[in-house]
Amino acid sequence: MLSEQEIIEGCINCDRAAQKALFDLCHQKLNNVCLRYSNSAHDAQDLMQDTFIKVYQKIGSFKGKSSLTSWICSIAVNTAMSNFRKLKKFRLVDLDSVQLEQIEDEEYGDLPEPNVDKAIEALRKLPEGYRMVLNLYAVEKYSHQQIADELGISVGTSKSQLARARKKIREMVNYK
Amino acid sequence: MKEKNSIDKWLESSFEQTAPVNPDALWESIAPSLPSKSNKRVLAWWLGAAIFTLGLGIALLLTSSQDSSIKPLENNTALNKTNQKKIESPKNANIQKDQKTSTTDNINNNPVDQKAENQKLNANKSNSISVVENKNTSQETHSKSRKKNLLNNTNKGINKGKEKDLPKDAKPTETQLIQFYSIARKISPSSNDLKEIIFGNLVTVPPFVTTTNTNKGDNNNNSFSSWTFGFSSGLNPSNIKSVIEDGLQPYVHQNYLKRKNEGESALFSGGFELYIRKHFKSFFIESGISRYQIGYNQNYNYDINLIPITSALFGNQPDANGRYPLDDQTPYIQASNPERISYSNKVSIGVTEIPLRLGYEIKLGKWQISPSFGAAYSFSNAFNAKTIDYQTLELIDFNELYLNSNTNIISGFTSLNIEYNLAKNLFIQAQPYYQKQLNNSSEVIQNKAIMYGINVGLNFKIAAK
Repeated sequence: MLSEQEIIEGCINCDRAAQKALFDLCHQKLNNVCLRYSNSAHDAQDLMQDTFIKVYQKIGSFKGKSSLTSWICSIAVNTAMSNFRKLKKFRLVDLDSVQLEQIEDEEYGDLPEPNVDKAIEALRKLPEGYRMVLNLYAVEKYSHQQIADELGISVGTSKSQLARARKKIREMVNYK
Repeated sequence: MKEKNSIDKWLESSFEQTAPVNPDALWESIAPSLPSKSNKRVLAWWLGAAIFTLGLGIALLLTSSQDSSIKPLENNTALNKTNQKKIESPKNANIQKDQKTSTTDNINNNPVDQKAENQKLNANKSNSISVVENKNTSQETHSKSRKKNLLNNTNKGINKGKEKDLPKDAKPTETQLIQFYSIARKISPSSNDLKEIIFGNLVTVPPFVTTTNTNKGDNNNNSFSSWTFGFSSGLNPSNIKSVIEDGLQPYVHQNYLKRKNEGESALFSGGFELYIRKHFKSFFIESGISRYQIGYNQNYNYDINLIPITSALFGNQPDANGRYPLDDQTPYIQASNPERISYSNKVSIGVTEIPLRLGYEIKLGKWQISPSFGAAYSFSNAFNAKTIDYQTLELIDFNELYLNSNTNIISGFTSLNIEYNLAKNLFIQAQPYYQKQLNNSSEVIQNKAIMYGINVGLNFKIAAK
């Protein structure tokens, strides 16, 4: 079993055993992140691949301020955001005009038990803009201002996307 | 607020569980695209080969220079001693075969031939001597004894007409040796062999004896199995025929295609090449390393009044650069206030190339024409370059557009190099060429660009045996 430091040094030297060890260390958590930001399992795999390539290229710059797995997951999130930014102009054009709708709590019952498969399935059904904002706000704990800065959209758009995303998720998981 | 928190918490709690995954299959899909030692090794081998080639070239160049350095004739005691030897009876003039070698040399001092040759030489009032050398003389081995005997013969020949008048320490002058060399060379075309036999380590090798391939038009024999080292530099106006749109047709904005041809200036590059060429008579094989800079201008004026609606809404899958296909079915929104975007942008890309070239030299006086063909491995990088995003029509970083671009290119080429000898070792050249990529430019752009143009520049080259 290699230590974290040995894994890092091995990856810098392109050692395949160290690369595999790093993959084993973080693939489960990273897989969750990639599934959250992707349309399909295939897209998630592409995102994971892009992430690993970046990780192996940049691992020499890892400072150890957070855990290695957290650092890798943050690269996956940044990669997902970068991919999203490239298409924002078109994806958000029909979303800017979305009106905030009042969500009626009473229309829905209680939320089901947390379930990763159900959550992924629901997220995949969301338009990409919704999904991106919901992920960043609800899971990554970004503020609307941070989301607006990262995605190059307005704070209002971020809020409207989040509201719509929540409503859609609510509809999907509580659909009767 | 309560509703918001509950959804967020539900998501958070859900993702604390781990989604099912097949790690082995995932690893197998990811592993091939990861950096590996073998990639590094390939690069190291290329670099090693390039350095070795350069080192070999420099070493041979230096060796060649030393070979042609001129030593004072008077200082060569070995020759003086040889000349001081008393000429013995004719039977001692027979050149004995070196017992230690298996060479097929059979150098005879044939009295009849020598007499005839001497008569001819005497008729020309020359003090030169004759050497009759069998055609099957090997170029491989020359023992000291053979050199010694030949020099004895040389001395005898030189002294033959003036034996009585010569002082005891008489020695051949440089002029005499040159005359001898020129005659001997007619008998045996192997000039390098003769050079060693006649001059060996004993005397200075006159400059003309060195086999510098200075394109005199008569050195076809000399060029067999010789080397040329060169440095060429020049400019290269060219064009890329297989434009990027060929591979991007389904992905590009209408306006991008429309403006592309109006706004992009022709390709222009400049650079240099260090090369080493091995000759096989008139054929040659050549390799080296070249570095050149490609530049082109982008000048666009876009009126952004059409905005395509894409994304997974229509069931499309993004390409490797995260872009969605646009096609005839893609709906566009008509913008109420068209946005005018003007770009004036210079793209600069540096390319390092290692070619392997096979060719044929045709020499016509000071002109040299060399058709050739081969393959090249090149890798490139863009310097602070920006370019137009073919979908968003935004000015973006070059590497962002070609996120998965393949910067390691293998290409095949053919060219015709036309050179004119300006001065010793210096040529001016024009080289029309045609080059085609053999691998794809990127994961997205599934095309193989074709470049054609003409290199115009200077070529400095030195030849050596």
